[in-house]
Amino acid sequence: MDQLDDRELVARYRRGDVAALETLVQRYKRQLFGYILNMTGNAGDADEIFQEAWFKVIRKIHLYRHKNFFGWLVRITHNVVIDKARRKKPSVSLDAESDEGASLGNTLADSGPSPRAGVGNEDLGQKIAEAVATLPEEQKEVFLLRTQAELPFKEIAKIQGTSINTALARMQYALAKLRVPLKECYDDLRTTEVTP
Amino acid sequence: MNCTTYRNEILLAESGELTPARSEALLTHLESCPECDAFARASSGLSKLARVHLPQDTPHPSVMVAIRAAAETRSRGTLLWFPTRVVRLAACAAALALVAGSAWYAAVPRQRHASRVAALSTVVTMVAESTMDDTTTMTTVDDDQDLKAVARQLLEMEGFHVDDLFDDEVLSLFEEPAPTTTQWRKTPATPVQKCV
Repeated sequence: MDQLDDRELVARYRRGDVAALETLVQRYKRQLFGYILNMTGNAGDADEIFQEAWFKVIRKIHLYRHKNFFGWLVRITHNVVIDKARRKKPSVSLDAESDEGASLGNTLADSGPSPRAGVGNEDLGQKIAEAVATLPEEQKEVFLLRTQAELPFKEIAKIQGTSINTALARMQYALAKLRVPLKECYDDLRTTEVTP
Repeated sequence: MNCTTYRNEILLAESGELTPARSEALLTHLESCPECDAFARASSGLSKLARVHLPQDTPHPSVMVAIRAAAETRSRGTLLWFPTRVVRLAACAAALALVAGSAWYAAVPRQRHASRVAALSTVVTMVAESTMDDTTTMTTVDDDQDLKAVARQLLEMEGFHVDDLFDDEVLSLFEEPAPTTTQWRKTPATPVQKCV
């Protein structure tokens, strides 16, 4: 079953073979969950979005006509992420400062470990995650779709509903912002020759 | 071309979306532009860093169970979907058969009506003969109600289902009798005397 391509697996599932869908879930579990987890920064939300995305895939599998199954899957997931963000969007900006100069985000910030602490225990991972979390949503998504989901820019542009040049520009901005806080990290990475 | 365009091409080269011809031109530019070379190193380093160190947990096992359950449920639905189409086709065929049957039935009652009128005419004649000749068993038949009672007796003796036959058509036969019965209704030869 693992050797079959996505189209064949989808066709098999349409014929009632549940194992074919399970193979697809396992095949893209790491990439998809990595993207969702780092977009939301919360394992609970990531679980919920991952599940909802696959539920939608299951409901809409009869409509699947694309060549690229994973691109279609990420597009569905992207929509679920946006819906979830809209539902959770607070009416008051966390960055808006009060008269005393304190933002709501700082006031509500928990002094204990962040939700990510339970997910990525390594300090380096936490540092990168925190730097990525500071990016604007569109830039963060492009960065994560490229590094976690490993999608090409052509596909990322489709998912974001924009041109490929806009997607590339967002990536450039993201890298420019990440270079400063993470420069030491990737310099160390290069000297120690760590490969993915 | 300016450096922004070359940096876009650096990103496209990393994602495997740059043509070999453009790759050659990019390498030539990188040898002569330290800023773009630094960008290429940063982009490569940050991407590796993110791939290796960003949180890449897997979904909670309960999520996987829920997805499998949904896939199985939908799969059963999919299998049922085909017979549903068959049922729809069968329903259409049944509707057509009903229309055809109705058209056929619309023609048949005329024949049944004709045969029933003929049968009733015979019965009415028999009633008439009975009222004319069989004075030992019949009372005076001087109104329609008695005549109907006599007809009912005779019909039941002949094996007819009386309730079906005694509708408006039957009654109209008595009100306006067939030519064979007209004579005895209008000009009875001898009034039948009641047997005491």
